[in-house]
Amino acid sequence: MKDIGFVTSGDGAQLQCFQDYKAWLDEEIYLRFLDRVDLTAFKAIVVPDFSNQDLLRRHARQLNDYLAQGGFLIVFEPNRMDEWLDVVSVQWFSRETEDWKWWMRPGGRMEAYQPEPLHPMAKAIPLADMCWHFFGAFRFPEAATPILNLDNDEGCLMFDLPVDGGGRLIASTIDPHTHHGRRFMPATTRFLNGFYPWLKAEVQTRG
Amino acid sequence: MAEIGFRGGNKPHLLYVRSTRSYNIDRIGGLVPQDWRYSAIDIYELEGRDLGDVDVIMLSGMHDQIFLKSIEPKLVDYLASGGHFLINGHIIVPWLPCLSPFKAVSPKPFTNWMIRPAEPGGYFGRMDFENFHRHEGILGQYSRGYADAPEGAQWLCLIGGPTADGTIHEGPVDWVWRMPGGGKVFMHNGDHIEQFCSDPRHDPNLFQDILKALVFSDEPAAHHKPYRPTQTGIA
Repeated sequence: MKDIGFVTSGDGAQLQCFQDYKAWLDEEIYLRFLDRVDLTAFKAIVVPDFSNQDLLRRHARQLNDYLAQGGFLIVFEPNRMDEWLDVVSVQWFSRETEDWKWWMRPGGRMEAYQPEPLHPMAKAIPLADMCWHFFGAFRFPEAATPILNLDNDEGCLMFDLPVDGGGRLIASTIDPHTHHGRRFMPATTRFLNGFYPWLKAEVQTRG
Repeated sequence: MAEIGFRGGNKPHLLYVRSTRSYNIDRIGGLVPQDWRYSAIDIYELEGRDLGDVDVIMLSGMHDQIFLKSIEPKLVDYLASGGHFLINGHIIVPWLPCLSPFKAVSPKPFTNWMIRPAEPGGYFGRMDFENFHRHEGILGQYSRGYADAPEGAQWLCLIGGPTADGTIHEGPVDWVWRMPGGGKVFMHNGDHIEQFCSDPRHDPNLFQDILKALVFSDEPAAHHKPYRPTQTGIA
């Protein structure tokens, strides 16, 4: 069984990310022809931010089945997963980053925190490497562990949710691939530098 | 205008290719000059679309390069027959023979991300190079690098500068090339050229200047002797 499949819409930033992190990735999966791929051959499937939403909707059944059959699906926004995931209910809502230039202010910070610092992803990736901006937020799913929340628990920017049948969903509204792949915003690179080694180790540990 | 004999009739026709969600995907119809023809299609419809009535194909910064590579012969035929391209984005899979992979320049010193004129011509000639490429004052939003241009291309704008070891790493962030006997390719090695000084209320208007230069001007001329600001030190 392969460890991690990386779904690409063919966008330059996504293609760049696969090149940069292929030491941790087993295969680049072309979203347009997803139906030609057996997703169950992968322990984890990553759907990066800014994927083609029409194609995600077209292949929604396959992605849902993967999750329902015990797959580990990681999805970043803005992909409107609330519109095509039905195995679990994800409630996304619109929410602008308060000030996208917070990093230019003395003592500036993005309005988010890590509510569960012992979650392995929070241990692998510090808060500073999860903060640049975000595309909306989720209402908090009951059975999930939050990884990144808006201040005052106004919403969740990243959570880890076990799914009936042994599946697992990590969902996030941050967009590291599009910025790292476009060579803009060092925090996004630091995020991915922590994320892919963590994910590789996680799927190998869990078997 | 009619004397020029546009492929789309008596006025130029821009075809916007909609792909993965992009900045201003629903705004382009308001940016293209109102005396042009404008239409938009989903990227995957390109394969079956007759391009004989199209003067400019515009690609957003987020386009499916794997798909475009799969229809490369059709796109080359379009270019050879006189059609033009306006391309945004970081090319990783060169889907035309004249395209090359994106190369990032060092963001330090920050002046490396200042966009400078090479041969701006009618494309960028009316821009204030101190400011036109900043987004709310921020450098880098315009572009972080360049891609090699084909032989004979007109380098319009430059990006890059000194590296840590003292060598110079700079190249053409924007360039335009004419296929001999065919159409032109305008390449912006950033995300969305139309984000900068291109609202119709903005005068001078970068997007409209580029379109007009692409379609109406002879730049680069068939026997253009290109200006090359740095012949040494380019990685």
